[in-house]
Amino acid sequence: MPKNANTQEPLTGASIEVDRIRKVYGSTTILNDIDLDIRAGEFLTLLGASGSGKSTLLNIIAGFIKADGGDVRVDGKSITSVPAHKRGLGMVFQHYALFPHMSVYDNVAYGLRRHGFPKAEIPGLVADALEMVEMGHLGKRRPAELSGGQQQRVALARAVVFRPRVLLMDEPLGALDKMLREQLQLEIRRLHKEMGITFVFVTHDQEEALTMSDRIALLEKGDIVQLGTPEELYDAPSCRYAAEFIGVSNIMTGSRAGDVFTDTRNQTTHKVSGGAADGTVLMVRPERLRVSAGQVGPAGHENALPAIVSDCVYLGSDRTVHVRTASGEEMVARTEVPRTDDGIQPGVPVTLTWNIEDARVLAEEAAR
Amino acid sequence: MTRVLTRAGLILLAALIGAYILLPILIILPMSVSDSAFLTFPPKGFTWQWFEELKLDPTWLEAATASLRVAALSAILSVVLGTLAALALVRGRFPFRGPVLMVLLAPLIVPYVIVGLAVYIAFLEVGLTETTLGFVLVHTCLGVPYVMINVCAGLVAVDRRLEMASMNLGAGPVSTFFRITLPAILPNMLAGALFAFITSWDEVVVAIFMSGPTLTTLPVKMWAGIRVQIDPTLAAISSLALLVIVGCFLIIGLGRLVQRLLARRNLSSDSTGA
Amino acid sequence: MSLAQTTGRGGAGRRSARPSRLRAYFTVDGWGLLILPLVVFLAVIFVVPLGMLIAKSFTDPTLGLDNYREIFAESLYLKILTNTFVIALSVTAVTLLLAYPYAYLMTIATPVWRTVLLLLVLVPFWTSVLVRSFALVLLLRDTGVLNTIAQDVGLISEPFPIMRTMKGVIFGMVQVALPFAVLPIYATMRNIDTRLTKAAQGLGDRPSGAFWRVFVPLSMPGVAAGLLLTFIQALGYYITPAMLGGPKNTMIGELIVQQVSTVLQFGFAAALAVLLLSTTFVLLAIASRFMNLERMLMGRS
Repeated sequence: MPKNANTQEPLTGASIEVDRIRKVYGSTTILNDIDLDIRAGEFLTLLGASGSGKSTLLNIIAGFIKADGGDVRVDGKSITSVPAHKRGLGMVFQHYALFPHMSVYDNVAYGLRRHGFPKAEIPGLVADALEMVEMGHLGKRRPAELSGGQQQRVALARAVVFRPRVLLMDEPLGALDKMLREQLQLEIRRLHKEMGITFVFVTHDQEEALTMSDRIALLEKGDIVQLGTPEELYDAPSCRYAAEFIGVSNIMTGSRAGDVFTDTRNQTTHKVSGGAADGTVLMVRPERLRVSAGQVGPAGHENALPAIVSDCVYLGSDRTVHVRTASGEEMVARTEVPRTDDGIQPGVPVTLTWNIEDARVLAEEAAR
Repeated sequence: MTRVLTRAGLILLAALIGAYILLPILIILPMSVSDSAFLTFPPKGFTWQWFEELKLDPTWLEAATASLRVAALSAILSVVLGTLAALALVRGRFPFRGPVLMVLLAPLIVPYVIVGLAVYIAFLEVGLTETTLGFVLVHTCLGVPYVMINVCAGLVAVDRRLEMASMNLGAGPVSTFFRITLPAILPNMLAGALFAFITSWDEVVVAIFMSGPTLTTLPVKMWAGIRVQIDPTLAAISSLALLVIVGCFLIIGLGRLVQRLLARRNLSSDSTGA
Repeated sequence: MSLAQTTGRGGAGRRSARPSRLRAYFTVDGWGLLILPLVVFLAVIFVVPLGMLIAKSFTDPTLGLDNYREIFAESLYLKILTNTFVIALSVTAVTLLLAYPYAYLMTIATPVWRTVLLLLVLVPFWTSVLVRSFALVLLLRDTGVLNTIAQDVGLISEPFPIMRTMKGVIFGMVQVALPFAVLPIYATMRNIDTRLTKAAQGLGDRPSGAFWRVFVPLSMPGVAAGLLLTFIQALGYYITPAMLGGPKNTMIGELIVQQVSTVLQFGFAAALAVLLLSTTFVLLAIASRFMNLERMLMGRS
């Protein structure tokens, strides 16, 4: 159990139970009776496209949006009727939401003052928090005088300075460029390890979610379609949507009968094991596909698919081979660059092969 | 070719309209220091004589202080009522929105002659004519829509996430309003207050009904003077009245400029971050 | 894992939609309550007096429609009413003629010039009507600036009379009316997609043709709103016509003040005011078809 894994460290994070949370705007269901147990001290990411309900769920936990049904409990205690300003959950907002008329110092001290920390302690705590995000020297500046990355750090310091047991983050890195974002991702992970509190992170960026999280909850149209570790989401997606949302996936459509999957478009059959019993989709990740020149034909290998190379892209150590199957579907394989020319180039007929355990039969929709 | 001609025609027209709008006001200033008792043109010599005469007649000063007092008080009352209403309009839910909005904006539309007569009839009953309170109450009606319009515009532009952040950091709704929202809409409140001030300071029609020997505002005294005889002291007092308005607009303009500069700096720092 | 499930709640939701929408209409939240002080204030200081005014027009000095009958019985009053309409119509016509090209220039001007033009047209709105009218008197009277200059350069030998004529009244009132026409027209023009006129030209129309056949029709809602607003404003003017007009140019506003200040006929003055007020509101109801009050309130900076 993961809880045991955390017992070695001083555990100060709180657990959050989301119990049948429902939110409806007019005739649209934003959150459809969501259940989610967030473990104490873990880094959980709510991942989804815009409109999936991830931000709404975060705002319900923070107390800014009232749910139409269900309950949220922190360490077993219901907070549904607690107003936002008394929940004591830290939060980092989209576009930072720093108070423009206050200095960096006053922004960070704001929460301490409102929570009634002794006056004498405030300067030290603010200094510590700013030091933690390497902003100690800029306390006198106004937010408008800071770069985006600096503003983000201040927002982080402001959210954690009063020692909340949970930190909620609503797309905190959305407005930053790629380099800065990757750097801050690492820093936020480091902060999580240092503080040991529960992080709930909202993003639409699947790479970011895979990089940072202990667990990911993938939302689609108000439902959690999958909850699991990054590895589970990547290797064992729960449905076609999950497979396509996270990473790159090759999809074959057809039907399954026992251990045989019939690709109805390419007119091929493949041996399968595990996965959804009545799945209609066969998914293989690009790095699990092998590409060999010449058409071996399906007779020699049960899991093979003939195709024509349409493009090769070299990425240094790796290359991606884009192919088109007989039915015109595009697929992509990612392989190491061979030492000697293997003759794979645009226009060449090839065969894609894969191991049985690397292909996964999925249902079109997640089981609900 | 026709395009150039059209443009030239449009610009000429705009210039003429500009002259038509500005010249009459600008002419007041030289007239008020002209050394001619009959306000003839062009002005002959320079003199402060007409301003001196204003100083000699205490009734001008009385009227001016009365006007200032009424304008300042009704500006304050307008800001309080108008800001509250703007908060309700932008943030709140309440029934009969359409009809309520009609009532709130009606003072902008109803001719001042009608407002004057109606309020005069009502205030006679309760003895509020010729009183500062009476003036303040009716001028607040006329000024409050400008506060509302300005503050509404400011509130719509307030980033709700700032208020959410404040609540998240432990500030209650009231504390959040005073620490976060109010500072953000303060420039709009100030602009609204100045508009309300100018409205009251300039207002003459309603004031004609409300004035009397006990209390007369500056515009009413000027009006009475103009009706009797046009003399240079009127040009002098007009210049002074205009200066007050120009001063108000300089404050509003400066406020806007500062606001815009701050916004631009915010924007530029955002783009360096993105 | 999520145990989320799809349920058939849509039907239940739809059934309760109607009463809940009604309840939603009548809900008041904490913020909404803040409207009360101003509503109460305006009700007491503004609406109640208007009610008393209306009541007075039917009761003072005797109960009934006498006051209204008098307005339409006396040829002098009828003449003043006609005058009012004629002057307001003329002012509206002249104002629109000036405002339309002015607003068009604003839409094609650079942002800086647009601001200058906007501020310029707002000057009459924010400077005292009294001071402006007084200045116009200095400008227009027989010994005024314009006549002096014209005589000095030999353009005319006798002073050209403008004061105490309808020309003078219109000259003075158009200034004050300009913002009420320019602003709605400009607001409409600004929202016209400039690609539309380009498209018309792309389809073979001359630039002037595209302007008249595409741009002008699209700007008409603004013109209609501006026309009505200007007309409403012009009906109720008092200071400008009283100062620049002669006895023949008396308008209803001046008559109302006269009735109160010189002959103390409150009931009759009230009847005149009610007549003006109801005309105003009928015109405003028509104007509101062309503008959205709430959007104007929220959208203006």
